[in-house]
Amino acid sequence: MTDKPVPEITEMNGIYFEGCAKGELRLRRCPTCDARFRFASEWCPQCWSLELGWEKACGLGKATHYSVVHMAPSDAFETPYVLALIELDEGVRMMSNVKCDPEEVRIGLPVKVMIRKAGRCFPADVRTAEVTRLTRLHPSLFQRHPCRPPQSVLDVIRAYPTRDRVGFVAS
Amino acid sequence: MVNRAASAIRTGRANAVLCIGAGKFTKLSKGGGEMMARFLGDPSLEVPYGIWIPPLYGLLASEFIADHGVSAVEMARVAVSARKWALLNPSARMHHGGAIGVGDVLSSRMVTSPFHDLDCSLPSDGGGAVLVTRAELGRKWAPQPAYILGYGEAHLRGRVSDPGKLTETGAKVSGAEAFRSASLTPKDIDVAQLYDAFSITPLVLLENLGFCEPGSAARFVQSGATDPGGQLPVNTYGGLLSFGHTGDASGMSLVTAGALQVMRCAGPTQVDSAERLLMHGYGGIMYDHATLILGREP
Repeated sequence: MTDKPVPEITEMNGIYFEGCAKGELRLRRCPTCDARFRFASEWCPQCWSLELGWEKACGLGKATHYSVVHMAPSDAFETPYVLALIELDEGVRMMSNVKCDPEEVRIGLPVKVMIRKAGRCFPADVRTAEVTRLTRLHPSLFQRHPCRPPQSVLDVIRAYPTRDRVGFVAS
Repeated sequence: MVNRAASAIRTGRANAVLCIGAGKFTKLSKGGGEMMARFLGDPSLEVPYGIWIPPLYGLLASEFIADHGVSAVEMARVAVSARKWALLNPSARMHHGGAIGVGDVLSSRMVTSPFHDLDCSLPSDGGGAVLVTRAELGRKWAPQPAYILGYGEAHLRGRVSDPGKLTETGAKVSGAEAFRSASLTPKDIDVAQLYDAFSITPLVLLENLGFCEPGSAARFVQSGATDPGGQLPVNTYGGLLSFGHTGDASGMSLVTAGALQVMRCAGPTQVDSAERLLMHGYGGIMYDHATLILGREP
């Protein structure tokens, strides 16, 4: 049995994983052109600005692409699992697993972020973000609780508890 | 590779260039899956989610299927067409594999949705080579050389998580460039060799290269147009699906099969009308694209 691949923490993405350790999903944001993106990079992919900041994502989104994986890259992954591209409410695309019954996944499935332990990386555990199916959050709540200014993911979860909290790891 | 060789010849740096491809697959049990994942994805933000080649193509396929309402049956028909050609080609892995129907594809083991086992190419070890040379030398060495008519290349994407449509690929750019440089249109092409790592990709390419209107490729394949005797024979050697996916050499398999058609040396798979042939290869998860058009007349 091999271990699941653990994210590689670098100087550039360190702030992202620090966010995960604190239970929040962070996005790269360009203050110059307001672009938001997930990949840690030294410049803005839209305007090439080098002055980049970070912001907390609201943690809600929907699945735009998916594949139910029955044959994994290694035996570290328990099959079947759902691999998906999530469009976060901030408009950023994110690769993720969706914690749900594989039969239920579909394009447009609303999801919320959860932070899970990704594995051990000296000197501490690394936590990473994935998403789980939104079960009880009524669509109207999206209007009453707009994403900006960002709310804490934990606040969202506490305010609207869902059945499938198993696997959500609070920091 | 063929275009690089042609440039070297055009600029007088070479008279003839032998382009060789050789490929090998590392088995899943020997870490092949993880190797693919690291090669194609971000080590921190993609790899930990269990990506590797088939599910990344599964993501791409889910977009095409949702946009065009393609069914699993229609997608499976691509693999059926490839097998029909492989049965004619003695060099194909599946030459003795027997005919398959859509039902066989759909009842084969699920690998990663929407792909069943028979929707996936056959990992194989293999290779091939083509000799690129000046027209006058080509005419001396071969009764019917294949002339390079047009070429295009595009590299538009590096990760599946990058923004934008996964199925609007660099093939649109490389294809348009190839047709422009050859002064031809898709209607002038008699045979197409389209890289088919999975059954979805010829459908994407038929549309992106302009052979089919958006949303009509699945119906086109369903009609038998890509089969032996069809209106636009596709992957006349069996494709990656039924000839075999020869790793880094699978682009070369496609090029040699295309050149042999134009040179009238394709044996039992020969399409007599193959006056002008288009071949298209891509790398990554449809990240990097190259289109080449060959013809019997310069």
